[in-house]
Amino acid sequence: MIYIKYFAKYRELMQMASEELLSNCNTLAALKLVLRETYPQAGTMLDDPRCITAINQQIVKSDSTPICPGDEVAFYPPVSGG
Amino acid sequence: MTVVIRPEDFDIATEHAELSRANNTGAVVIFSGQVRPQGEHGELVAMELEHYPGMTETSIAAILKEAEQRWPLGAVRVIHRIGRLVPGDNIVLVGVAATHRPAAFAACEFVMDYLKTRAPFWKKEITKDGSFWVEQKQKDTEAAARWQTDP
Repeated sequence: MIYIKYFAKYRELMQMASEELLSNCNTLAALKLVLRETYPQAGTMLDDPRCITAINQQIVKSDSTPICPGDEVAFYPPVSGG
Repeated sequence: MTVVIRPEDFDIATEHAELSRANNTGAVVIFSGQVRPQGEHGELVAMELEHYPGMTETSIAAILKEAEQRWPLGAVRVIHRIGRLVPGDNIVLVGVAATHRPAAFAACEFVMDYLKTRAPFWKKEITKDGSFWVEQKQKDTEAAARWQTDP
């Protein structure tokens, strides 16, 4: 199981805050492909060059980053707190 | 160091008293940020603050640890509110205690600049015409970037 979280405008776009994905994808690229195939609107988020991805709460840059069962993958826009 | 993320307000006098008690304190600097009445899309009805539980706390703790490595600090506290706030409400407090004021001033700015650009919080402005996500500002990115070249 992979635990996916969406925040702020991506939470609204995906119409959910989180989901659990039963998947055997083993890289971030493979996960993104699954999301694109599952949700027509996912491209809007994944094609956004400012979309930030964090795996187990660490920001990752490369689509070849491995994903293992039990991992938490988050997608979020640039932060605006403070 | 203390990091608190919560819906409830904070009391600046209480926070100041706590910071003052740190070891050999001679200077306390407190920054507080509040909701402006005028947002980017007009008069605000409310502001909604969302965060990434867990990652927010650890990312702020990392920022505070870096501040402690750069300056000799007696204590440092961050309180960031979440949920629905209205104009005039407190949003964030950064408090720093040090023996002398240069470290306290610098560390407070450093923590605030990094908080703006690294900690996973998002703001949404609610106006009578609709609601709008607040975009990250270029000047905040630039403010944080200066710490990378000017330690």
